[in-house]
Amino acid sequence: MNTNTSSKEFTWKLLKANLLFLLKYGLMYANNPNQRTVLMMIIKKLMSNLSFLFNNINESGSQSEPIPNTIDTWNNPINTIIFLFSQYPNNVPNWDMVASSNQINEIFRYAIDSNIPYDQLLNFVRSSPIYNELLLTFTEIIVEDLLKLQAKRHAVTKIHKIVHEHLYITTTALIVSNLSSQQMITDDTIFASINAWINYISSIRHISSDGTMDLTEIFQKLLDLMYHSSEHTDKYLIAEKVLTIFANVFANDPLLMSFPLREQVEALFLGISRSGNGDIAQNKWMLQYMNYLVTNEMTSELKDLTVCIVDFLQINTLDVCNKLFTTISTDKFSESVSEQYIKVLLQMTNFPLVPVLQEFFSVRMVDFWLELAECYSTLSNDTLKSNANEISTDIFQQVINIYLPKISLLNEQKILQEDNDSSSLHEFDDFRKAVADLTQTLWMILGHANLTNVLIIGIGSADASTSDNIGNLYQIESMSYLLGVLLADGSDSVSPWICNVLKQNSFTIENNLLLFRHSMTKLNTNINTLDSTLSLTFARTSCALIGRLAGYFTSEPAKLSTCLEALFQGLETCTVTSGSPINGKLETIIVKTIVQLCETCRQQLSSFLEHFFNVLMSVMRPNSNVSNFTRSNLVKSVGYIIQCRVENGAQEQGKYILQLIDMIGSLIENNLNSPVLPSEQQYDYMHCLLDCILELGSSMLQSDDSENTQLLQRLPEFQQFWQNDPFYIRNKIMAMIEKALAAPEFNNRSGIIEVSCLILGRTLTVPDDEPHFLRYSMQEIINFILAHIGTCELTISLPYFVYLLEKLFKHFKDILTSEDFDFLFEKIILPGYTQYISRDPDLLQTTINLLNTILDCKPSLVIFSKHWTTFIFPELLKLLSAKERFTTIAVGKFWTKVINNKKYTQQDLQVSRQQIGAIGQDLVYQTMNGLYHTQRSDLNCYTDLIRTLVAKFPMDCKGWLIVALPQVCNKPEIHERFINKLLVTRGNRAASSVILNWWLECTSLPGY
Amino acid sequence: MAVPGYYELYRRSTVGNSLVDALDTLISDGRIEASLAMRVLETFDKVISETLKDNTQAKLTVKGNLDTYGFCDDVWTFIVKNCKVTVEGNSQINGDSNNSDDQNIINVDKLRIVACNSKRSD
Repeated sequence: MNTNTSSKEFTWKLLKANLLFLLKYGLMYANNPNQRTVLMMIIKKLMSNLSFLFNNINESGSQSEPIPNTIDTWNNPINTIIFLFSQYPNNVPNWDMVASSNQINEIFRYAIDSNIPYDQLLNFVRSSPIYNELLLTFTEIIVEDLLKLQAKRHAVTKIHKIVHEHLYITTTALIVSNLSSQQMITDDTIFASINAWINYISSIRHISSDGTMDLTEIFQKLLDLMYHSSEHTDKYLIAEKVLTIFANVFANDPLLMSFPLREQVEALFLGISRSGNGDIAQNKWMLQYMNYLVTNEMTSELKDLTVCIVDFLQINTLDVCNKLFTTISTDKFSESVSEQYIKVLLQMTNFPLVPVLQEFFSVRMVDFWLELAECYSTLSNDTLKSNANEISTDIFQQVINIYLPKISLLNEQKILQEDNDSSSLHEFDDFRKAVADLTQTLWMILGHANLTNVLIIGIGSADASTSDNIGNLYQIESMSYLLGVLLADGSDSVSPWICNVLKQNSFTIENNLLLFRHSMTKLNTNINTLDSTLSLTFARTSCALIGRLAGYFTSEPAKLSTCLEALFQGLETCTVTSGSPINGKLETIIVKTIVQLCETCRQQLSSFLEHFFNVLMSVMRPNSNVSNFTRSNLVKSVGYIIQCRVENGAQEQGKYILQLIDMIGSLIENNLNSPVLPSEQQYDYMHCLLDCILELGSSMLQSDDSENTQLLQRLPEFQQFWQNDPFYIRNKIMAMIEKALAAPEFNNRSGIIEVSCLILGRTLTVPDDEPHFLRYSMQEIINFILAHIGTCELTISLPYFVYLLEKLFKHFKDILTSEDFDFLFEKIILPGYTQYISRDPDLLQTTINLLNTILDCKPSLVIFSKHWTTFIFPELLKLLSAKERFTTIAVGKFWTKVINNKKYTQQDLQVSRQQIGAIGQDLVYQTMNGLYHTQRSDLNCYTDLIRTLVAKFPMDCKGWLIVALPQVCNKPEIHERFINKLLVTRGNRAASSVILNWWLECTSLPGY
Repeated sequence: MAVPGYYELYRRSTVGNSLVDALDTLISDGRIEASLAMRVLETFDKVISETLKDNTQAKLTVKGNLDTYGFCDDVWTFIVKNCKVTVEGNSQINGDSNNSDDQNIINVDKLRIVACNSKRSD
């Protein structure tokens, strides 16, 4: 219905017509209740129309001079309905609404203004359940529609006051009367109506200045209803509905419920009353209800109850925290009550069923404990009780002890056995992660002494291999999982204190490895989905912990070798047969752990280098069953060890690298000459071999963490060695790359070109004084690009060559000149510009980004180029109107950098201003033209440029805009306003909204 | 609560931008009224907010140096520098049931986090 009319007469007509039809269909429904579905649809629409009119009439306000046959206020639509239905209980008079006589007007006016006493309201709803339903539905629709209007930010102000003074009172009476008389609760209408009112009151109480509409009476009735709901009366049906309402309140606006009522709820839910005012005997009802849900396996209902209770608990977290741990509170909350309260919460957390599958208390309580821990952590020391530390340690240690068996994989096993749907498994996984997050937070309170050490002792105090109890393994897994999380702080070192505890609990590593071996044995022997999923988790936990203990192994080489032996055995096991996704995942987990160990313990593994070479020889073969990920990561691992082999000089290190490069070289050779492999496999393998060189290069970089003092002492020797490169390693690698790129099956594959460019550019981001076997000279790199830009397909290769070129310009900016730029530009960009680059937005973006990079590092290289004003400026001016986001973003940045560049020298700045001055008019026209024709989401591409122009050329800019804008579109008033406003901003942030407004006005589009 | 006002911040996402552009085109072509476009965007605000809440499982961890923070109009803003963003457990996207090994780590120079109250009811 279109109520958007300024005509009050029309509104009045609409109101009368809708009321009449509502009366007509309401009576029809009362006489034919079996036609409910069809009739209620029409009735609800009529009610919705009336609710819009209710808002319109009241919001539009009264006129100074009343207009005949109209109304200015409508206080209570419910009263109007009651009046009409009471006046015409059997049928509707045959009114001619078009003629609309004075008599009809009078009747409706009387209905609008009617005031229904409480008794009459009760008599009316008791006279017919259908009338009752109609009133409840109408009041629900009115407040829902008001909320929708509120959400649309319409000017809804007066209506809330009217609702508060009239409709709220009638509705409360109506709802309370329904809740008092249980016979009336026949369907969900009453609960839907209550929910709508709660939502409405919650939403407007922060914005309305007329006070909050109190819901206490309704909540009290609901609480009583819930308490009297039982298995025998209604199978707790009403309890469920009431709990749903309470859950909504507790989750979203708990303060809607008054404190005394919350005391009652606390006593009912927990059997404890912290204030002493709640009736704790009522908790018996809750226990019976829980028992009913558990006995009947009503998991979903139990979950709803859990959510409700935990949301309720979270209302008081801060209060509980203060009373438990601080001296702030002096009320009746005694020590014993607090202990009892926490005991109940701990019991609730330790609900004796399988989490996720059967119970959710433990799952949801994670949030509560997390919040409590966070509250405690932020308390000021001055306010803490003297024994707060002991209390908190005691509570939070109990929490950890409860959660350890809860997150056990035994429970995951049960979920896998019971539930075919993977969503429960995901939920359990989320639960484990939530407990891990909680553990990290609890560490801030418990520290190493009460948490990390306890976990280590739990894992490693006794030899688990001698026990036949499989449950031990699951316990160790839970503890290892949490310990792994605690040690994952991002650094490679493990504190000496933790190292000592690990040494004292000598079985920690062995027991953890037992998890790994257990999973390997399982995978070897059988293999249903359940076991393989569990085995993978066992291996994941074990490997994660081993990786995080890498720092500890630097002081315990014996344990390190045990771990590596187990990991390599595991790698062998899972690569015996290929194809299984579980094996593939396991392989990835193991290899990642090996890399981690080799990176951190490279010194300790130095003596194992030969063994690593042997392993590498076997896995690098094309027929080996390992993945390319494993190959490149094992090369990286070996690289870490070689990197620290400096004690015997650069010669020895060079020999190891040579050995690896020769091995890779011969494999590349074989691959190129191999007629057997299908081409895709051949390509993947070739890519992997080149990637191995790149990974080797990465592993040979000095890491910040592991500064090798021996290398620093012998730095000149190593620098000299790699400068001379007596083994011709660089040449050999270059030859390999040349061969790969010469092969027709590879030279148009983006992966091969990319990795080749990455190898060549590997050291361009590394300081010059760091010795490295991949340090190619500027000339070598330029020659490489020039040699291959012609042979590789430009559309595929250009991004990689340009990326290499960008790094080259950044690294050698001090020795490069604008003539060098011209030479490279002529050789690399210009030949293919018209045919390829200008037609491909990606290539255009790549090219413009190259210019942007140079403008960022040394602008003089380009602004003195002979192509700058003759080719680059004209082309990039045209591109300002390109209808392609990638291009316009890049070109917008380009012009912004040209106009405003902090890297400009005085001379650069002078030249640049002259250059811009010369093309300013065209630049402004192209920019505004591009802006006008662009879509809303791309406006930002131009705003920065316009702001910079206004800021840097304020005087010229006005003239340029005055000339340019009429050519863009003929809207002189809009342009004039825009220019004036824009210049006032001087290019500050406000300019963005000025530009947006100009675009909106020119395009006549709405501002969303 | 049940009918909250939804944040409009997702209109600036890629999908939101595309929707806005499409609506602009429809208005310019005279195929829809501006009021309908607004209605569509209001629905979009609601749907994207609920979908992100209900149908995403990925977990994002941010580790870095907190450079600036602020709290204004119920909106927290954090600027984190030199941070490592870890995205894990994106199993629904990968279509893999147990894929917590899939961990994407993104190194970011500067990250701006805008955190709004999910329980806001306008």
